[in-house]
Amino acid sequence: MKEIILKGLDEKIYYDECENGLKIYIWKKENVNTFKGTLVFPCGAEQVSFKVHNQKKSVPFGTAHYLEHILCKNEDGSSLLGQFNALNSYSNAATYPDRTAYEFVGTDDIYANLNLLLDSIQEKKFSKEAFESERGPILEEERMRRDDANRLSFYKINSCLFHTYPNRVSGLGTEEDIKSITLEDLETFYNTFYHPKNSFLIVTGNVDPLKVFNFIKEKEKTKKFPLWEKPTFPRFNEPKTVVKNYEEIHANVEVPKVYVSLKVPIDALPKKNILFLQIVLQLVLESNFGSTSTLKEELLTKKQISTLGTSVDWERKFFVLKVVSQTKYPEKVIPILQARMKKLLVQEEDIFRKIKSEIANLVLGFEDIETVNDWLGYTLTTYGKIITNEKQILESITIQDVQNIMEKVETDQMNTFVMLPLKKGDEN
Amino acid sequence: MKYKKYDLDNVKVFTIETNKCKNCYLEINFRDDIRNVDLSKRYLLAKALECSSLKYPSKRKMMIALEELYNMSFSSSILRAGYNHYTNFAIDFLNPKYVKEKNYLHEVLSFLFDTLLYPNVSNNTFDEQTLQVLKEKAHVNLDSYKERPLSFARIDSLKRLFASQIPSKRLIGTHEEIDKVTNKDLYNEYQKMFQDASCEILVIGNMNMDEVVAKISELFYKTSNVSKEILFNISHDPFNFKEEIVPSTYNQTQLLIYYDLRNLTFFEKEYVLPIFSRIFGSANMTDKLTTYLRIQNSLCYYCGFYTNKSDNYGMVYVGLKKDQIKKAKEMIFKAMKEMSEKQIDETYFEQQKEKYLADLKIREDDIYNLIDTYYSHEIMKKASLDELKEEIPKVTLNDIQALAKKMELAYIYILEEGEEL
Repeated sequence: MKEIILKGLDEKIYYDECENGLKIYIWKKENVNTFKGTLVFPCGAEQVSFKVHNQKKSVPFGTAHYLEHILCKNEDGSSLLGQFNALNSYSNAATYPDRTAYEFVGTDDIYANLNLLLDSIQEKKFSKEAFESERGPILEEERMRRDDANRLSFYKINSCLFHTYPNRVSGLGTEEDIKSITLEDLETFYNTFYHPKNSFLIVTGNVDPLKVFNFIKEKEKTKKFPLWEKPTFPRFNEPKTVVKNYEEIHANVEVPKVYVSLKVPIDALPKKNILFLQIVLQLVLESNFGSTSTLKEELLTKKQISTLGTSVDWERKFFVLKVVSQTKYPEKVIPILQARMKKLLVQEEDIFRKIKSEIANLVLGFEDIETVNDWLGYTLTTYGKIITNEKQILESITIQDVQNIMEKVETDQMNTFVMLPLKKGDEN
Repeated sequence: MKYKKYDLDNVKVFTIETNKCKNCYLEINFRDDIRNVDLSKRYLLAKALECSSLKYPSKRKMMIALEELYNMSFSSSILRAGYNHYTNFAIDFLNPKYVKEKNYLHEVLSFLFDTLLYPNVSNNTFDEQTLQVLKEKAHVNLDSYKERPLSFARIDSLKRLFASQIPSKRLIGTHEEIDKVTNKDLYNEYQKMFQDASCEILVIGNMNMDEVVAKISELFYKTSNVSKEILFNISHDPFNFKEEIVPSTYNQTQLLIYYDLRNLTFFEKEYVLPIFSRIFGSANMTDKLTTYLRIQNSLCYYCGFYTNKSDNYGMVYVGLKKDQIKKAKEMIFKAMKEMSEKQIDETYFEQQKEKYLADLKIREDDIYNLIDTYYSHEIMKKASLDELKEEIPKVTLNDIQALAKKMELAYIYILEEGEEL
């Protein structure tokens, strides 16, 4: 058992690995009744083309998500979640662009929960009947998502920004994709990615780390898995240009929503670690458009907007800097947002105040067993490791760093995406 | 955990001292009878107080102050339980022991209470420009539910079911009411709130609560003494059963089926109904609705059973294709019939009671839930955690059956999807 120290936070993560390659991470919190366990596979909705054992394979969009549903179903069609229910626990599963996670939250018997989770997910027997009967609920889930304008905007914007990346399609796939998925597609995906060497188990709560490690390691010894070969993925030759500078759609919104996104190539930025860059960009974006910015105050006061928010997403070789606003006056607001995006200001006092509040968020983040569990799943998939020095990164940022980075941010590749309310008589 | 109650001048304070968290939470509630509250005025007042004060006359300045207080959060909300209308202000802050500034607790409490006691008012009027911005946002908020089909279905069906009665009202008011509010009205509403409302403060965190309460009494005062007994149960007209189909442009149809819960006893509402709900429609993929609608017939992705004990209704909800409505209704009625005929596996029934008790342990890890349950017990006379632990095991299958028999079908509402192109 190793200890991974989170510097400056007075927190540690316990780590161990099974003989079969399954990695285990535990965060212990005393004074709570609840525990959470999550089995994470770093493969998700975006993995649709890959090469394994010298063979090129591809599956329809939505396969990872369909598989997630099927793994939560027993051969007889009953729900795995019901079995967790019988252990007095909650369980759920989720498919992200880059990972799939199966989780339980309970209070009573962590070992029974771990048994059920590992056995059900690691040793799946597929049944044609259970597979077919799940297609209806998944199609309904897809129809439900079509009514969700925020979700729709995410994929629509990606398709305006990226020529080659698979983030342009909903993780559920389209209705046609879902109808085309076969049981063989699920088996291909499962056999390629679902292996202990390609997974990690995260446990958080008031547990005895050594006992949990020993239990899992002994249990995993009894299982047999085929040899695993790490799949490879096609290289995307993504141009620096955006696909479209402007796109407008009618969707299920009451007030128009405007998104202005900047596609920023990472290789043009100073050589810093990716989290450092991401934090700095987020701080600058917030300082320009966030709740303490004069721009937001001005737009609100003039009643030109009702909301304004920001995000910085890391998409392979690019950062996407995005601002989103609800506005009745898109034609007035768009040029203002675009102009500021082209010339982001570096405001020292604002940035350092935000760093202080980010540090407080970091301290408070290690509080809730579910939040920490989710954070571990995210950081292990996104960065391939636990970030142990986030507080130090925040404390080390200088105004010179910020200026150096912002000088290199290329601002010529921008997309503006507008969602307008449906016209009378329009269908979704 | 240490629970304590304090009676300050005209303010009741409820505290829980616990080492479960690194943050601390405090909320102050102004509680009125909703029948005497002008909804739009009160909503806009809460938002006006949330976004400026004499010391911080703009939202931006307030946000800067909050970031300087280690990103303390400050928010207002409007809630209702029965006839009780709550104007709520809450702060969430880092435990003072983690920060170097010795006067941090004083600073965070001053922020909240100065905001409430010294609003951004001159000549007995709130700032006109602020009011205009808030009105604009209120108009947008009022319609935002239309972007989510299930929210639209719920709000539209409540309007139709309860006509002009309290459960049909939006706590933000209407567009017309929002437009009419003046900055003078806001000031009058402010005075009315301090004059007429009962005031209760709740605090939870790992702090010495005697010291916290001493600080509160130093920083906050309320001149009028009001302690109101306001009903937490709405009395409304009997429902005349009806079925309505409402067209929409959404992709998915929403089917809502309402049941009348008016005739339930306290024991049934507090202890039997939660177990009934689990078996009928909210037990994580094992309940009857999910089994019949999703697992056995693949009709939907989501379905469930929601109850509002104060407004006396239970509501089944399903998102599905419109050509599946007939089948879905059959399945829902089949599930309800089984509840009233006691067709419930005994082992499963016992499991659901055990699961409920296990969930109470999860609730005990959540500081917001802990303080809310404490407050609901003290003010609304709802069951405490200890009472739930004691009474839930006593619920029998006969209780479940009796409850099902009392539930009368009240209303079927269908929000129908648009035609596909």
